[in-house]
Amino acid sequence: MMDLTNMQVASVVIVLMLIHLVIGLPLFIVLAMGSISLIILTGAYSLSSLSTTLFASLDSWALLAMPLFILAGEIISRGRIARDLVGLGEALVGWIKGGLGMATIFGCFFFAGTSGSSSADTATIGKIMVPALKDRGYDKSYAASLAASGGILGVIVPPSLIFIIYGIATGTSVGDLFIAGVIPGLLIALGLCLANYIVCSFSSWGANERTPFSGAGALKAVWRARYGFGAPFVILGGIYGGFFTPTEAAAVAVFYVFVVELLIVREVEFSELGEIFLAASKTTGILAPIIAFSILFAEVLAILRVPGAIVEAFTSFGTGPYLSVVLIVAMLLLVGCLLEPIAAILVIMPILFPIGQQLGFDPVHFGVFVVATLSVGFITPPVGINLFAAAAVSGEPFMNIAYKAIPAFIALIVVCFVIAFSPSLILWFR
Amino acid sequence: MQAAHFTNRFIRFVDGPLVQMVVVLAYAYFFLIILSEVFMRYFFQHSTNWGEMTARYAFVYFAYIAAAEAFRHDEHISIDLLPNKLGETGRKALETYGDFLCILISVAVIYYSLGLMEIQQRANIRMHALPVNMSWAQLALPLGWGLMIIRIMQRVQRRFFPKPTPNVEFAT
Repeated sequence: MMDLTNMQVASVVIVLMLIHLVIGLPLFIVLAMGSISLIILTGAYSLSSLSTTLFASLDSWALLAMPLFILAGEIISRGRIARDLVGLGEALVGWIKGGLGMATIFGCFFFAGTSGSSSADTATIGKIMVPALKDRGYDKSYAASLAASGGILGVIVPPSLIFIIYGIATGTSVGDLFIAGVIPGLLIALGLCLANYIVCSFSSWGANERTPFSGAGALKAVWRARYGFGAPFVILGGIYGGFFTPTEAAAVAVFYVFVVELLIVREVEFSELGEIFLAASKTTGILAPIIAFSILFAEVLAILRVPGAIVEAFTSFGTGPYLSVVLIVAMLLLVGCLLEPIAAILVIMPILFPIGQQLGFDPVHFGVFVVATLSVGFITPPVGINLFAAAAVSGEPFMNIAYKAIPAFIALIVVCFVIAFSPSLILWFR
Repeated sequence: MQAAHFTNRFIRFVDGPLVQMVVVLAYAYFFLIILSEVFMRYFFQHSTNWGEMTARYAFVYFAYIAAAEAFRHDEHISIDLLPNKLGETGRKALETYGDFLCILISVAVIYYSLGLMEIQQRANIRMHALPVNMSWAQLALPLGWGLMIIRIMQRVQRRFFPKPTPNVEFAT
C-alpha cells in the first residue's frame, strides 16, 4: 500500500516536473524541485542529503575527464588540426560523387577523435566546410545540414562527453565505452555518406565537384594531418595500453593539443589561454548542476523503487525483444527531440538502464545504442543543438537546415537499429 | 566620495575578474595536478596521495562557481519553445518564477551545507590525505550556491530595471 502511495506521489511529481520543463524552467531547477518535493512528500529520504549528495556527485575522479576533454576540444577548435583533418577527408573520398559532402562527414569523424562534443564538431568543421561546399555548388542549407549531422560523430567516436556521463550514471567502464564507440562511429559516418551519395545522385551539385584521387596527395594529406591523429592515439592507446585512466588520458590529451597548437604549429597564442579556459568552463558550468541533481533524483527514485516498478510494467506488456527495442528507440527519439542528449542521459537512465538489463543488453552495448539513438536529437527540432551550431556558422535558417537533414535522420535511425541488434560489432574487443 | 568610488571599483572587481580568475585557476590546477601525477608516476615512480583528492575538490569548487556564472548569460539548459511564444510579460513572469525556485533551492543547499560543515568542524573530520578539516572542501557548496543567488538577483535586476549595472562580461 505504502509502495502504491509512493508511486502515486512520484507520478504526480514527475508530471509536474514535465510541466515545469515545458514552461521553460532550467532543467537543473526542475530536477532539484522534483527531488526535493519527493523527499518532502514521501519522507523516504532526508533533506540533509542535499549537502552530501551534491558534493559527492561531483567529487568524482571519472567526472574530471569531462572538463578536460571540453578543454581539449576548445583548443583544437581554434587551431590548425581541424583544417588538416578535413583536408585528409577530402583527399580520401573527394573523388566519389558527392565527395566534398563525404569529406565533411569524414572531417567530423576524424575531428571527433580529439573533441568530445558534437556542437564543437559541427561548429568547427562547419566553419571550414560550409563555404567550401557552397563554392562547389552545394545548396547552403544542405551543406550546413552535413556539418550538423556529421557533428553527431563527436559524441560517438571517442573521446565522448556523453559516454563519460553514461559511465558515471550507470557505473559502466568509460574506457570500454570509448573503445566500443569506434565501430558505431564508423557505421554512422558510412551511413551519412551513403545518404549524401543518394542526395547528390538526385541533385545537380554532386556530379561536378569531384577531386581526382591521387595516392601521393592522400599520403601528403595524411602527413599534414599527423598531429590530429596524435590525440586519439594518446587517448585510446594510453587507456588500453594500461598507461593511464580516462581522466589522466584527458589531461595528457589537453597537454598534447596545447603543445601542438601553442608550440609546434603556433596557431593559438599564449594570450588566448585565459579566454580558452573561460570558454571551456561554460559547458561544465551548465552541466554540473544537472549532473548533481540528476544523481540525487535517481537516488530518490531508487529508494522509492520507481525504476523497478516501471521495469515490471514494461515487461508485463509481454513485448518481445524486437518490439521492446522499437519502443525504446521511439522513446529516445522523443526525449532527444526535447532535451539536450547529455541532460537526457542523466534524466532517463535511472529508468531505462534497468529495462535494458531486463532485456539482456550488455551495459556497454546498451550505452552505445542509447547514446547513438539519443544523439539523433542533435539534428531534430526544437532543441537540436547541432542545428543551432550549423545555423550560427552558416547563417542559414534553423528550420531549412532541419528540413535538409531528413536524409541524414533516416540514415541515423537505420544505423541505430543495426547497433541495437549487432552486439558483436560493439563488443568486438572482449 | 573617493571611498564610494573605491568601493564601487572593488565590487566590480569581485563581481567580474576575481570570479573569473578563481574559475581559471581552479581549472588550471586540476589539469596540471593530474598531468603532473601522470608524469611523476612514469618518470619518477612516485605519486602523491593528495594530488587526486585536491584535484577532485578543485573541480567541485570550479563546477559550482561556473554553474553560477552560467546565469550571467542565461545559458542553463531549458526548453524555450513555450516562453518564446509568450509575450514579454508572460516570459518575464515565467523567468521570475524560475528564479524564485532557484533561490529557494540555493537557500536549502546553503542551509544544509553549513549544517554539515558545522558537524565536520565539531567532529574534527579531516580530509583523508591532508591534515585539513573536511569543511574546507564542503565550503564549495555554500560558496557556489551563494554566488548563484547573487547572479539570480542580478538577472532579476536586469529583467526589471534594464539599466547598465556593474557587470563584467566573460572575456569570450
